[in-house]
Amino acid sequence: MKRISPAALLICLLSIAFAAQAQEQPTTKECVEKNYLLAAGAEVATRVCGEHQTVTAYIPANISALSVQDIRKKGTAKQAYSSIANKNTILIASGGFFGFRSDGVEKPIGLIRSSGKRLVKLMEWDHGGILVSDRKGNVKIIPAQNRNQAGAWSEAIQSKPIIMHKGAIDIRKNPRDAEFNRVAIGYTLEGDMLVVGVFHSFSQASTLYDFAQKFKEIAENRGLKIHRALALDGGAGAQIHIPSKGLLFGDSGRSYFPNAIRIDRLAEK
Amino acid sequence: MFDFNKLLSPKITIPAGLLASGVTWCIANAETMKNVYTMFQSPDAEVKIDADSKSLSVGDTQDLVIKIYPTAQHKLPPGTVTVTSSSNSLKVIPTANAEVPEITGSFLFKEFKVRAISFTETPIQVSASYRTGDLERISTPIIFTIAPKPPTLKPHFERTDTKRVVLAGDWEMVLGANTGVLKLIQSESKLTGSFELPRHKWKNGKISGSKDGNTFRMDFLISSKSAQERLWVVGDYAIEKDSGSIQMRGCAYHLRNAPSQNIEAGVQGVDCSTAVKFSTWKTLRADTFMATASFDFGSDY
Repeated sequence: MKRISPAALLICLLSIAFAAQAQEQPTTKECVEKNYLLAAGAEVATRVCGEHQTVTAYIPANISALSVQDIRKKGTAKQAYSSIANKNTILIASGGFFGFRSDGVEKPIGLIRSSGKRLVKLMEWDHGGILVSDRKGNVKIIPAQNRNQAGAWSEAIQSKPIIMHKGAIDIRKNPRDAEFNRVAIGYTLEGDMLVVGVFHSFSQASTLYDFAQKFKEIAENRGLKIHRALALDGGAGAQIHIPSKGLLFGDSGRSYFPNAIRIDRLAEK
Repeated sequence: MFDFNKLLSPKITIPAGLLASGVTWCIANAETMKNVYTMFQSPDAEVKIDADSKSLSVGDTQDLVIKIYPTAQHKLPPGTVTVTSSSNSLKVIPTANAEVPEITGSFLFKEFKVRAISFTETPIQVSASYRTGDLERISTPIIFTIAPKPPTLKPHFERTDTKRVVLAGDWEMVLGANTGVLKLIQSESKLTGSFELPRHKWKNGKISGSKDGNTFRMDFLISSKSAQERLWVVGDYAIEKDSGSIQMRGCAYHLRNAPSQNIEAGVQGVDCSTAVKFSTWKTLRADTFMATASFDFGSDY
């Protein structure tokens, strides 16, 4: 029988352990990239460069259901999102905006439909769009001018702006565009979804325009022609959580979370 | 014949030597002669008044500068100076008159101020007078105008469909065990302004930060160390209808640049301890942070 040295065995075990956890690759001296395989062919890639983090989640067509989750809680994102995750959850990300009632209490802003019920009324914004889903694998972003079509979908969440259309950036540079954490969701006409988030230790990740460029670059690198991509709530609200891997990206502090989008693996997939 | 003209204007002949010695004596004693001359002169003075700004708003205080100097060769004996305002809307403080000592050269008096008490459309004359013995001299008046008090900006709701909160205004704050004030200016979501913490290690400085949703993120800039150290103040705010106030609560983290530190951990703004880690920065200290301001529920700025 051939003998195996303890050192070789240790190296072998460590290699297996690292491969199982994640594929880690230092790309440059400052940046570290990791890739995680999720259920049903979905995957997440993270890139950390000092204070900056970029998170990309790819969800192939027809394997998932997108739903809108009504939260309306104050606390940390971890607290707010933990109650809405389930064993099939691939990803939870930021939802829509919030404002204040006259008495100073926070309230969600923009259309929210969940499980076929309208929870918050539509805002007559002249730009942006509505992310809609039938909870059966079909997802679409309806631009503001066609917003009345959103009523036909069981899940809907209104946000702004649309950052990409037909593979091109759909916003202009704006001198008032400030650096914040950002999250957006896009889809291809084939039904693939791409969720991208940029985060920063001091919440100063990117301007919206630079973020749109990054979204486009990531989509192109993956060979995805994004039909439309919609920015979701930014700043402290910008969050991407991958419960199955225990990954939380976004501001760790306390905020108000009006709602979120959740992408679950379809039961039969 | 008798020459009457000779009788009326006798010809006096002064010897040239005597004239020359007289002139020499005068030159040698010019200073003494000058002093004798000034003894017979009265002292005289000129008074001037000025101020850096003559356009005030109600509540403003402005320093006055009064200059008194002798115009004759005399020193000016001790006297009094009085400042007069032509309207009760502009009050001279702390008092309207004061004593001045003997003046040899020129004398600058900077103890007087004026305070704008109430709005008036009429320009107000302020003059200074100097009196010593029988001498009284009054300055040319300077003219002040008083504008209404600008509205104090308080945190308030933005008049948009999302009814966002504007944090601009004056705040009272407590950072650790130190009390101080925070003056915030908000443009879009960007915050600027200044802080004052009289008993803190860093007594004052500028602020750079942002407001998003119901959260705030501020760098209290330490001018001499901005590249190496930062005081990162982070948290959320809540509006309290009952007390008519808005309160920020969170944590202040004293960080030092540490490029090898690549861990992110803890809950920013909730956990006020050094267990909160920031990528590329070392957490040296963490303190609680609170700030309170009056909230304007109704004003349309």
